[in-house]
Amino acid sequence: MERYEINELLLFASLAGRVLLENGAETYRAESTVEHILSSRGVSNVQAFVIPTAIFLSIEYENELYSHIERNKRIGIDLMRITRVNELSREFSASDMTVAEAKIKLNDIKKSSQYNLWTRLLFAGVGSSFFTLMYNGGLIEFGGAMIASVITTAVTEFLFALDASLFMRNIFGGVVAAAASIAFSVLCVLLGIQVDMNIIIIGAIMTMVPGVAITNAVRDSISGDYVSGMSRTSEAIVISVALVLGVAVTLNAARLLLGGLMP
Amino acid sequence: MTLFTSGLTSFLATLGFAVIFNIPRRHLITASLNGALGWMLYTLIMQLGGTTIIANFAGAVTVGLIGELLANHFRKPATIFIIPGIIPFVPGYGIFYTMESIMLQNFTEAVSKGSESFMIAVAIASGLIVSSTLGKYVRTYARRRKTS
Repeated sequence: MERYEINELLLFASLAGRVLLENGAETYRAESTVEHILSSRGVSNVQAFVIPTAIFLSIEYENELYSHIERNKRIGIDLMRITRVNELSREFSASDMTVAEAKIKLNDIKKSSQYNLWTRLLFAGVGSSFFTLMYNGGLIEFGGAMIASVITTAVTEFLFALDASLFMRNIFGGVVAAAASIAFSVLCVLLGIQVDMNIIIIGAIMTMVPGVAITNAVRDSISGDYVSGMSRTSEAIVISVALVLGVAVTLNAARLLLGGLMP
Repeated sequence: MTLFTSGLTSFLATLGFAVIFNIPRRHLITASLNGALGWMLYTLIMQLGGTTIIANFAGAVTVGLIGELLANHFRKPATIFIIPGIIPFVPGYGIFYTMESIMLQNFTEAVSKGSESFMIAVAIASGLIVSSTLGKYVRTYARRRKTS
């Protein structure tokens, strides 16, 4: 391999790792995928160090060391892309696909999406509203959570498309979730229907709360990836602080403005 | 809540999240069933008087094992069955409630809810690690038997 080919391979491997990280893959999966891709092309001494915010790579080829650092800033969850990168890395290692071909496929995966916006919004509503039933909510809370969650998800998806930071996304998500839940509850009160506003708020924020993040954080720490574990824990804390800020500020403002109308 | 209704609600809750997480279309139902089965086991253990930690651990082990089996069968990464499967368990609201208590200066509540949420996360994570390790051993064992 020529020098530039090594560089291309290194860039491709780190991009594959980055697509995995961006879509919420576990640290060990990103590490092993990158190592797998690199080892299949006959380079030696493959070292990959992955944390949720960056990938550090170093390889050896004909007594020369090559290294590359790839930063990652976006984190969401998209399991379809993880599956496809996984398949691509297997295919790449098993065949003699060129790096250029593989890169085209990877860029395809990066942009791929499976369900359109309306389907995602609808199912966000379904997921959240059935959660209210698990938290012992009634039919009124079920309906309220569905409406509030669809509105909230629409706003957070919009902010995600605008590349807004994690903190801003969750603050606005919290504000919108609380505002929608309050509006629904006040409407119920005006119509004389009993309603538990707190359960509606729980439903509305369910798609944002960092449950999977904190579980993955502990999982990384138990597996020995302590830096990743701490990084994901911080992420979970930032998400929940932002959400709480958004929800609490909105609730307080509503209490001041609406007073007795609040349930 | 009866076992049946808890299974049904968790199935639909998981299904919603499975779409948000962009699970491949043909695995939506299997992934959601995985979550429902785990949550039914959780409800059963809680009804029999088990503690939250044990119930979460057992639920996560079930979800993890079924996830590994499905992954092996469909030749897909186990994550796509496990992440939606653990959705009914994960202490997302617990973490939120902890932060809320800190903000309202309700520190006793924050410590108790915070440590509970953390232990639930530990229980789920260890359940998943136990099941993935078991899955790995079973796979290597099966491969060794096939080659010899």
